[in-house]
Amino acid sequence: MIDQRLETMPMKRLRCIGERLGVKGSELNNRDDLIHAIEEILEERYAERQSSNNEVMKFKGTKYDLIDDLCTHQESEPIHQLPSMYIETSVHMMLRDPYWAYVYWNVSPYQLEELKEARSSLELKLRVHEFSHPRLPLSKNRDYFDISIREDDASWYVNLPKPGSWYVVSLLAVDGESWQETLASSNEIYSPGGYWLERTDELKHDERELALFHSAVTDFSGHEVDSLLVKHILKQLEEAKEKESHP
Amino acid sequence: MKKGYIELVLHAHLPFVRHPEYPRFLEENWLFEAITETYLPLFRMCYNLKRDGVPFCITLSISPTLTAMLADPLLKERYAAHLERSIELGMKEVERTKGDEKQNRLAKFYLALYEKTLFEYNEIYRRDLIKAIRDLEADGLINLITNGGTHAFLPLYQEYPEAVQAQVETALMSHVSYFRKKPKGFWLPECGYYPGLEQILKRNDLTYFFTASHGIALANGKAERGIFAPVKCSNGVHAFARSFELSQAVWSGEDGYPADYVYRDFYRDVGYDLDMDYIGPYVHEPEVRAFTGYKYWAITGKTDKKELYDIDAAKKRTGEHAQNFLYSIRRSKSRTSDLIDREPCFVIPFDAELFGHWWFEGVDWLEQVIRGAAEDEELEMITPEQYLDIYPDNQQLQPAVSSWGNDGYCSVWIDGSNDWIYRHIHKCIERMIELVERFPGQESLKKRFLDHAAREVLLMMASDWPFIMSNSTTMNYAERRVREHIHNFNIVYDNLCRNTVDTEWLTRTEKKFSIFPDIDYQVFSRRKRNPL
Repeated sequence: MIDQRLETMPMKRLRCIGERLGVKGSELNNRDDLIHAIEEILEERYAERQSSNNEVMKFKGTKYDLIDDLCTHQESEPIHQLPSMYIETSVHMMLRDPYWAYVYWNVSPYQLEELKEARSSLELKLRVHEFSHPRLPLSKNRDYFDISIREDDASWYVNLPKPGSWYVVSLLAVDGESWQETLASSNEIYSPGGYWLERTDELKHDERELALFHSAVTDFSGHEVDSLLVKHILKQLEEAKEKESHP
Repeated sequence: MKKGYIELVLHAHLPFVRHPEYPRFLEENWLFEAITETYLPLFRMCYNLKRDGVPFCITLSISPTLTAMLADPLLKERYAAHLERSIELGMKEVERTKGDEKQNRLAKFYLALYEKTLFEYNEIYRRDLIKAIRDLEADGLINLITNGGTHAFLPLYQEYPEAVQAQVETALMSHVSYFRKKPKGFWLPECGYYPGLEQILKRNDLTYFFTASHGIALANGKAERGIFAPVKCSNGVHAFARSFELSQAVWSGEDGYPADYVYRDFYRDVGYDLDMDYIGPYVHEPEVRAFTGYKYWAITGKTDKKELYDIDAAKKRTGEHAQNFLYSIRRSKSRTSDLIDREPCFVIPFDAELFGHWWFEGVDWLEQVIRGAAEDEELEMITPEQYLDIYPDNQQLQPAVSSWGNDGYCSVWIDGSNDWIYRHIHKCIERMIELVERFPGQESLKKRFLDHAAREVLLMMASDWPFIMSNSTTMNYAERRVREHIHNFNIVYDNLCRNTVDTEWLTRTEKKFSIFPDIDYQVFSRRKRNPL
């Protein structure tokens, strides 16, 4: 589908698409090379997307398939520019999966300026607090780790080391080892764990529970449901089985 | 003999796409294709089954955005025009293919299908598909439930219960206004659940929802009946888990039924195959190739050399696949019978548009499954309400955060391609909550402004936009839409902060995004979050 459309396009439009996709240099000047380069990029990206999609998501993609990625019918429309930042100091945390959270923040430029004037070597950090229970004060964290951030950073994917825990992120201003100030703290999120995650030993020895678990998360051919934690549990069960058969 | 209960759940949803500012708009085809290939064939199926006295009831989740589009006069007009163009193309196709008997038969088949569809749409349903859906429910053929107002992926709004409440409340308001009955069930968009969401459902008198199977398998305790019975959250709202093993028979891209080589290929379409001089008027202006619905080729295999689609062979195969599916249910039932202390229920949910649109023969398959189940003494189709009537006592358990997306959580809707939207959407939500507090109980023009602000916030929250962004490689419609809604909301916010009102802009924008005409901006009230 793609090549047929590309071949009927004028060179000016092809070049525009090529540039948008990151084609550079002499390939932009030769029609055949340009078509070939665009095809390669699109096919590669398409394959990448498809391979990361589970079955439900693959279908969902086809629901919106009207034309391919060369869709240009709205090119003449203005693209609304959004605020580059909001004048406030805040930090937010969103669960992506049991192991990762997305964190974004704003630092008010006025506050930052004041801090810079007052402190000789100011550094910004994210502190990721881990808790065993919800709604505890930051000082009661079970563990924490820091991530240094640059002034122009605005978001980060943060690793959540322990499923089944609560997490809060603080935005810190730090000056050496002697001074630090918490500029903002995020909402609390829970990284899911589940009863069986910590009890695979119990699960593997309980025939009925194991059968119920398998019938929930695998199909007749042994395909597993697309869930990171389920895969983790099944892998642990598999490894335990392996160990028992080859002690 | 123990029975096996089948809960078939179809979720019909499309994002709100309506562009009166253009004479034709490509993405409106999402709706037109779904009406032709999915919704009307499903209605036909329901009436065929009713005519033949087959007992069944399907749980149908229909999104408020889809409902609004089905009821919209402009889109009704455009859909009829779309069908007329399809018929005109069909006539040309019958002429063009007359030298090839097999292709010609297919061209005639599609032409007849489009003519029948136009006749039904205009003459049988009088363009009122909302009434058609109401009638199906009144006849007991479907059990209607609702889902998020604009189909937001709710786990990503957990920090803002006001926004989740607004999604639920707006959905119910829209549902009652179109279908005149309050639903009891709620389809969580993308099966996206987080612990605590049931509190908002309960507050809105909703009694059950559906989760991904790992939502129950990874709950905070042992699920005594696995996924073969619902669990009760601590506040009494029930969670029904999707049967992964049965759904997989259909969904699976490589082993699933729709991938069978005799079925129609979704991608090969004359819109891409024929010269632009010929196909130009039936694709999209200016010269953007698009699907036309005239598809002559079978899946055949992983090859570009496709075989012609054989309608009879495909029909025969749907019968075989329906029998195979029923066998799988019976197999699952017998596997379960020793494990649990009651008759199991198998929750089998699908995106409705899978049937007919992507899997062309899917509606035939569904009809044969329902007929087969009705003839089988071991099986019975049932709704969640009926199941809860039979078994009102269920295990109390806290389901886990989950979705049916990649990796089972939120990664489709928050990844490197789309994560930037949340900073802005969350800010708009905060500002909307602030506006409700600053301007309580407004009337007339200011209320219109505030109502429209609420509408823009709901529209920017749709799960479709981050999904499309994550599945595209270039700047696309979804990104433009999110930017437009944020931009529009900020105009309202700035106007209200400056105490100025641009009535002309408001009227124009209200006309463009005409969804939820009765919305009340106070759906975003903090008080609704904590009514006690």
